[in-house]
Amino acid sequence: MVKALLKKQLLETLSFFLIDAKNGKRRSKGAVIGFGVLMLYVVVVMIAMFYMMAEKLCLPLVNGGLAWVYFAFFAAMATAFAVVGTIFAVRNKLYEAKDNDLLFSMPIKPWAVLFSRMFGLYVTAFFSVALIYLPAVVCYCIQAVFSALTVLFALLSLVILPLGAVALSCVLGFLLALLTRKLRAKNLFTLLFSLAFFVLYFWAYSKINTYLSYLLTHGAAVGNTIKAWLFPFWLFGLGASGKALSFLGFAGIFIGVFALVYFLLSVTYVWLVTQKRGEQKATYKENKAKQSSVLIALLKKETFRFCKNPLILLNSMLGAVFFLLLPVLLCLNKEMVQLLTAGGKDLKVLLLAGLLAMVSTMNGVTASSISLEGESVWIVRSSPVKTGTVFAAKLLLHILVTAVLATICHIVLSVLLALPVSYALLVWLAVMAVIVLTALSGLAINLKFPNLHWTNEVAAVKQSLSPMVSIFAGWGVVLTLALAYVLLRRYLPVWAFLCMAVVLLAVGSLLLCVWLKRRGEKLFEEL
Amino acid sequence: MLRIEHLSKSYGEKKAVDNLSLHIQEGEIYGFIGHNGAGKTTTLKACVGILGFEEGEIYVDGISVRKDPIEAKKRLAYIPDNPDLYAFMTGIQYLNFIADIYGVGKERTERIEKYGEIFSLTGDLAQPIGAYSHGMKQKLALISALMHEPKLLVMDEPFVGLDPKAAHSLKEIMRDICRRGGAIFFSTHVLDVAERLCDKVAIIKGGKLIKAGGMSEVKGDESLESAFLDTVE
Repeated sequence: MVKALLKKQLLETLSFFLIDAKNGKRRSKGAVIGFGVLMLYVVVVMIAMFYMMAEKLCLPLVNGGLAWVYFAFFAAMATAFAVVGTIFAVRNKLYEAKDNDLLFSMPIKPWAVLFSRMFGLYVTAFFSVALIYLPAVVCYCIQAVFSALTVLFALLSLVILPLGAVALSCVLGFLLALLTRKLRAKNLFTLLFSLAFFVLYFWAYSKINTYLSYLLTHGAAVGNTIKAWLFPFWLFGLGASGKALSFLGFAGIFIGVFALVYFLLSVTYVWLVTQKRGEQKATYKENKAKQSSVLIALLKKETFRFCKNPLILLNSMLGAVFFLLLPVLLCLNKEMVQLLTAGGKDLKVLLLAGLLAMVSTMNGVTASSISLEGESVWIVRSSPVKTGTVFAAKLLLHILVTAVLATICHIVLSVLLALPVSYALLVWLAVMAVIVLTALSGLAINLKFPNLHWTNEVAAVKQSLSPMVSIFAGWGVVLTLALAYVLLRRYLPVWAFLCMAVVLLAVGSLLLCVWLKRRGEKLFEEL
Repeated sequence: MLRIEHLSKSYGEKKAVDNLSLHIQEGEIYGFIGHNGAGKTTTLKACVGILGFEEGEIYVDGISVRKDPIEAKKRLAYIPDNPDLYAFMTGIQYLNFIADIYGVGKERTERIEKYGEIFSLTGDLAQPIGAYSHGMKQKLALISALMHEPKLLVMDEPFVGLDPKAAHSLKEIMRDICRRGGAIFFSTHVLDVAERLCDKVAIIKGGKLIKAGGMSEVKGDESLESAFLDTVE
């Protein structure tokens, strides 16, 4: 029974690889190989990245007698990475799994269901840990010491570290679910939480070199901090560098914590997953609603859709987040302002235009707006609405949101960089032209690559081809313009180049409008 | 009210509907029955302008669905077999959205109240649709379909998921629409209901119309179930 459950869980965990999210059908052999090669590429890039990091730290720490800090640092990082990778899956896979009712109606003990669910999380955590910890061990074996004990402890670590990560994820995921369950502004909370996580991630990423340098110069101090605050990782570090007793201590703690969490969850599992949610039912009050035009009604619908789900909002409007962060970042960081202004007026103008244009291409509202119609596409298809009006609503939302935020950001940055008004206007025009073009191209790309058969709407944004192609296409346009400037700078002053860019972008938008009218509408009507 | 002339629709090599002709007149409740995959849903979707078709013509109230789809759609309402509604909206937001699309003015409040009470959904209209059961979604789809008082109601398996009271109310509403000069075209597998409710019935098999006409003409002295099984097997 447990074997069957584990097999089901493994299939579920690996389904992203074998099943096409677009249509729910099994991928062809060619597609599996292609997807496998792509995944392999991503894995190799990540392994190389962590190997390079390990290369920087290994010898200096080992030679300074701090090999244990080296292992403890990578183990802690791998565990944190695995926790981040699994915590968001805990709610859907453990507490609110779709097949909970089905499994509980079968003659299966709850502990077995829980075990299989945690196994699914363990597999994900295992790969996350391996991505970081394995390159560190290989680097240690190549640069420092290669011994059978190192390899044995490394293999054991790969098995034991994910246990701690899964236990921590389960507890944190449970607390998160508990916190948001009673919350009325759940979406706002999730949005703020995701934003905070996002800002923290970028902050940490921008500081990684500083921290690595600090680790190299203050290894002993970092070691003391690890010993004081991350005791199991101190034991781990000592164990991995050869002290078997310490390794046993670490293994005992990790396995013990996992067993405790598993025991506590198994005795309460049925209650946890079957209890009634404590959400308050909203009461309907009769209101006299104002009649809206068809376009406004469709625009409202699009706005509801994007605002209702924080994950969709964040993923589709990544550019908007940057537009909000950029002025704050530049106000706080004078060095960056100096860097942007160091190359003179022309470069300053071009850098600002390029920066704003690049950020604006990261707003992909239209790029997933067709896919997000999903199975409910019949509503607009059977309604007396022109397809052109449906497109107009999607374009309008994209352009309005991006243009307003881009304008605010542009004004602040223009003031900070002391841009002349005439140039600021030209930059603004160029950015607006990019925004219009990106909105139109996103819609066109999504019409060519729609994904209507999702089970979770987030997949239409995060796991679809269209948003990714759309962003790359936008970057392609901006980079092509940058290249054009490099080639033409001898013959064209900056103002003339910006005027030319605006005209070219407008022509591109016009051509896309014609395509959407002639071909795009037909594609939508054939969905 | 609905005239289907020599309709043909293919999916690749497979002909889903083959030269189908039907005429649903004002005041008629027309049932459409057939096995799974017989071509019922394809026909219904073609009638409401969701699916294009290779051959034939469809007229709603004399207006060609192919040539003037917007005008044709203004006169009809469609309810699919599995109403996937906008899960991100609340019930009332969805009804207001549909009312805006069909240009329903102040009278929407009165109609929402009326149909909300009939289908016992008023208390849940502030809930997100994502939290609705299948039956509640079906009820909301029905209310939204009735908001603009369509002349033609096209429904795919409308009774699936409805509680007995709602099913009874729907039958009453169907009769009322026909009394006011409208028409109903719906598919169903519940042959008892079709037998009691429909004025006319059409049987489709493998995309082809096998039999169509008045209820007594199609079933003869048998029950509709027996007549259907005799016809298709």
